[in-house]
Amino acid sequence: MVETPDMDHPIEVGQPKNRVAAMEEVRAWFIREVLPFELTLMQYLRRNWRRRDEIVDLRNDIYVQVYEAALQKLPDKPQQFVVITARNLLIDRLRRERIVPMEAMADLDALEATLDAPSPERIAIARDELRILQNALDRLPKRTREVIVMRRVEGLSRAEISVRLGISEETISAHVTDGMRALTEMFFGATSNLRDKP
Amino acid sequence: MRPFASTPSKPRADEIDAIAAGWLDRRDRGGWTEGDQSELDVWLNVDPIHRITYWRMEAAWARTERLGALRAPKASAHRHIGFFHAAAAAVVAAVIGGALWMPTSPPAAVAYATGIGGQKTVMLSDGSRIELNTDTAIRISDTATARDVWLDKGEAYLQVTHNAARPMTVYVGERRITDLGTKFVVNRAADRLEVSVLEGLVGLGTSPTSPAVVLREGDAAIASAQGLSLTRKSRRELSNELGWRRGVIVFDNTPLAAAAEQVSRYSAVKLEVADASAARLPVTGTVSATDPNEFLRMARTVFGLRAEKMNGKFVITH
Repeated sequence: MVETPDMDHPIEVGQPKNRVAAMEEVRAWFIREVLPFELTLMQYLRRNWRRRDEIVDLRNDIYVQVYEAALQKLPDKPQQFVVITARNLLIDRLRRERIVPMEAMADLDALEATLDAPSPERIAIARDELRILQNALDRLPKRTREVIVMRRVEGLSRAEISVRLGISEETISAHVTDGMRALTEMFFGATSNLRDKP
Repeated sequence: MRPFASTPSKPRADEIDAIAAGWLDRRDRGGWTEGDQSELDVWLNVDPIHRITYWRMEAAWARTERLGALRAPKASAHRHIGFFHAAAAAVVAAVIGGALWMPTSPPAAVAYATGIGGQKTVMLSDGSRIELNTDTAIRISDTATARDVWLDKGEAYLQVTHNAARPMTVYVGERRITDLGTKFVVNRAADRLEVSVLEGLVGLGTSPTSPAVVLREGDAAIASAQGLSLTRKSRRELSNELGWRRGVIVFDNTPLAAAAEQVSRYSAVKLEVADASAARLPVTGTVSATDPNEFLRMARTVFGLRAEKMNGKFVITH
């Protein structure tokens, strides 16, 4: 079908009218549909991209493309959309490197068959959220874990934590940011690169 | 301290994660003000990945609240004291937050950004001006001893009042451009940096340690992974390239494919020329930088081509 730009669907040049509401809708969608799929996406990327240090940046590039598409219109099948975006990006990169993207394609077909179906696994994962969080917390370095537990589980103020542990509020901030980052990785991507902090 | 002066050409996930965590930590400290919020909004608007990273971390952090369900509830007296202390701590945090908390905080610089199709002019206190083209992000630190600008992405035209006591430096990834009193334009693409000088002199350092190459009026330098190449540009070429400052894109025997690419820079919907024969058609003339329909109309009426919308972009064919 041929669509001419200046008839029914003029090209949008400016901002959408209700940007804040649109953004909130995309945010909720992204957290609900895209982030829980991160584990699968990361496994796909790890299988198909040999340079490990580039995988997180690849994932981010995929997220940006998915996000930008979602701002125009929320994709109907979010997981398929993520995987197709991932495949296209990989093929693009592989082409630039002059590598035949055979494996990426084969793997995609296998993956595609299972997408966007409410599988028993997914439901189990949702139920297991608390357990995953608990495991993630247990894997944090000792001091970081203490700070996070006091703040988030026991609900202590930062001043109280500072007195109890005898550390400055700046040190608390360092533990909070470290803990936040590690928990985020373990929760969504199930990877861990934790180092102990003095 | 200038934590971002020598970031790699594209900020990596790790750095963005660190900044996002810094923001969430700052919120968690309490005493969050409207000013903090608008500073955060600026950062979120610089690049979509900032916003996504922030959402992702915020979502994980919000879920840790459920961990409370695993523990026995605390005595209410304890909660009460906690609340009281939290209020006192918030005041302290608000006062010392900016000064001491450096490693993960965003730079003190002020960020300015334009979306696709957007343009913006920023005036510095001394009358120097920086004009941002489409899809551009910069940060400016304007202090008594230095004027530092980071071009995070896109293209900027700079008209600088020279002041040896407050030198102007533009950082583009590892590279830096020092002004020696001048008008120049800097364009940061994914794989290269282009600097063109309209007036005066600028120095271009291609790495933090290498000495600067001096560029003069009419010089254009392209720095990429392959190295540095220098060319000369006529006044007319330079003026054409800066058409965006007047809201237009100027083509001068430009192949249609390259012209479509230029128009795409200003439009949310991308344009692509599918046929190799159409791609080479030379285009001369001026089109609007704010309305890509003008270009598509030109392709239809002048060359008799068709534009079809496919997969969210316009594909131009015979």
